[in-house]
Amino acid sequence: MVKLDLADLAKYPFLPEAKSYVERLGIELRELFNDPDYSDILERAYERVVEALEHGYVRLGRDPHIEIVSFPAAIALVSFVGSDLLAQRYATAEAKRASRQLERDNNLELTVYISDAVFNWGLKIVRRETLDGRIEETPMVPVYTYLKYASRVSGSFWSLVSRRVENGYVHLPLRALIRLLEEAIKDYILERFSPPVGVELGYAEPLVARLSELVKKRLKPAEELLEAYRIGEESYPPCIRVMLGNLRAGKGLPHLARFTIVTFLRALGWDVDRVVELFSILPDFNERITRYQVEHIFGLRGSRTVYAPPSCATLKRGNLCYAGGDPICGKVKHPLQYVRVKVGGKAD
Amino acid sequence: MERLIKRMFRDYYSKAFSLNESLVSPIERREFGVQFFDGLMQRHLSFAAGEELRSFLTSKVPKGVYYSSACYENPAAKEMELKGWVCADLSFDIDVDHIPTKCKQEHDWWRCKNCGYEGRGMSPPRCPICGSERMERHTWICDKCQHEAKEHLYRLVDDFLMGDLGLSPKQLIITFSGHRGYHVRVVSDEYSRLDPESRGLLIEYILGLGVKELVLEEVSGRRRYRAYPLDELGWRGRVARLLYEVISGYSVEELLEIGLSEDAARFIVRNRVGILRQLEARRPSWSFIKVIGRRNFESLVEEARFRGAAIIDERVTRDVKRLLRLPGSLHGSTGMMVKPLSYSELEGFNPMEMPSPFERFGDLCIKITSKRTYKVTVGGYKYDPASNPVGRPLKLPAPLAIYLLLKGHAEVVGDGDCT
Ligand code: SF4
Ligand SMILES: [Zn+2]
Ligand SMILES: [Zn+2]
Repeated sequence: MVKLDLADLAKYPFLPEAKSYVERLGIELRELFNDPDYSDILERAYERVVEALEHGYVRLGRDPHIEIVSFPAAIALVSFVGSDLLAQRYATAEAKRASRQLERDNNLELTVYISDAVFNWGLKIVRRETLDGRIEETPMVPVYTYLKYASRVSGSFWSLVSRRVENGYVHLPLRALIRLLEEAIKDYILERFSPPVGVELGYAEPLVARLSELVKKRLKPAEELLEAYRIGEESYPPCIRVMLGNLRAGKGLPHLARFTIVTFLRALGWDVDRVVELFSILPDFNERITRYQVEHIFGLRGSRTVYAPPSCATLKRGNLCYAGGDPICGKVKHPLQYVRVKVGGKAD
Repeated sequence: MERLIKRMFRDYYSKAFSLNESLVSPIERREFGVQFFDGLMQRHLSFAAGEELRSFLTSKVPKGVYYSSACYENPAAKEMELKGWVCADLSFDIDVDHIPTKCKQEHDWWRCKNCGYEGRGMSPPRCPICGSERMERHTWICDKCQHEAKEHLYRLVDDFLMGDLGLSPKQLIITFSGHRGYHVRVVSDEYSRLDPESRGLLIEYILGLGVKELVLEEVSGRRRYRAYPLDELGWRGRVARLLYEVISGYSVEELLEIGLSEDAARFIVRNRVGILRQLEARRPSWSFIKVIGRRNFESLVEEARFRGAAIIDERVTRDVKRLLRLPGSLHGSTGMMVKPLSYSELEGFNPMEMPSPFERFGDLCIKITSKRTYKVTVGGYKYDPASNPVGRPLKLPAPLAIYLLLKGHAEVVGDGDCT
């Protein structure tokens, strides 16, 4: 049996033992947020999230007690902010911290215990004599567990072909097992984000507000691209703006221009209806035909290919590039990249 | 002809067909689909019980019947978002269409619908002349092909599913496809929750993709090989054992055929005993690679992979929203039954001797209309084009006649024309 002390619970605050530690103290979220005695815990919870946001990593604080209790508090804070991107970022950072600690501990028994106690993986340990006579202990995970998590980690290192597979189990070096656990821990945390009902934010209110601000500043560009409806035309590249201008003026558009507009707006999250409506301004507009064509380009008909917008090179060849002296155009190869740079402030 | 065939299919669905519900359970969560004789497809069907499905089949008489490997909250919903995908059984399709067999040169052919170019054997995905994907494909059932399909089925089931994955025969639902292959569905909650990417890793494993990288490593720009003992687990040991098979069993000619150079092939045959001893060692060394060279060794490894992999249709395994042929239904291009098989039945199963539900119709009067028919056995009845001339009315046992009609190589003639 693994003996866990407070320091272990601080490193691995998702353990059931850490959960019961918090429960035994009888600290409820409501009190945490509203009792000034707990301000150090709340402060650390806030820090955890900020660290995740700014460095993609959560450090291990000195006081185990605060580390353990601030973990569920941090999850609650993230839930209140209500940003999926923040949740992703936070879960990834916490999972990375746990896996670094596991690597440092380099303890097979503990790692296996976590896999089983938290995730119910049902690991097995094989003992084999190596060629030079040592006894080697190797953990084995069920094949389906391996497939589930290894498929998310890239690289041929994770190909099942390269592994020892035996009767439903995959032999794994400890480090590889820890890497898979990192994915599972991330999932575990992600599943726990839901705004607690009936809890007054109290002292947490300014913290949630500050986090929301931070998210806006740090993650906004990416989030905006996801919800691209909100991207204004001022962020479109010159070529698209000229095409849209011509369209609105009722001028005929060459095929490539129509194709570019439809694929570009689709990539920004427009739906078929909205695109069709845009074209309704044309004098030769025929709703049925336009809808058919748009749906085709959206990959909803025929070959089901979803078409990507043409690159700058293609547009230049088609005499549809209006880069002029635009400084961003000088740096990008694709109209969508233009938007990303304009909105996000950096080239990717 | 369509009338006659539909009548016989209807007869089957109304009298002989009975759905073994445990094979599609839970039936109320599955989506069903049918294809009619006019080619139209109807999807998003849902049935609460087998009897309901049977009366549907009896009244509509489709050419093919399918069910989803997936379970849905709402199988009848027309849009995926509303269907509510819950899970999908891990499924495999083994089909001779994807397995290279030499006999296909004799009995399979294809023609480009765009430019008319045609060829024999395994059909390319697109026309080599004009690039069109509109291809007409003609396939035939033959002994060797059926044998090959079963070989790959055994590899899939014995070596991978029951061997490496440790599944039990009870967790496998195996059916003969009704044509030239087999389907296997794995009944396991854990596997049915996997996403397509995870299934992709398993596909790679079963196809042995990456075996070359397993034995030939490139470490910081320098190439080196890794040798594995014969009793190693997974593909490590499998590739070692298969290399052993190839090196111990292949003649010089066979080695040339798989791409080795003359020198390398002769070297291997001449030094066979020594090389095999190296492979057998507990700490094996494959130093013969240094003599034959990397290229020749790669050919050996590829041959080993080819002997060990089960050739499955990747798309079927990856796709978690796919329809599979319903066990017990009829295959619309052969008239043969999609036959559920227990693991123990596999060994003795010969699809060509499988009793046909059309047996009871006795003989039918038909006329062969094509010069491209080949020897075949259906429902235990043998057919040979040499003794069945084109264009003359013939009396053939119903299972054979239906096969030839559905393959499009014959037409029905009046009973009076046959003597
Ligand atoms: S460089 Fe690209 S984005 Fe800029 S105008 Fe030309 S085509 Fe449009
Ligand atoms: Zn062609
Ligand atoms: Zn054949």
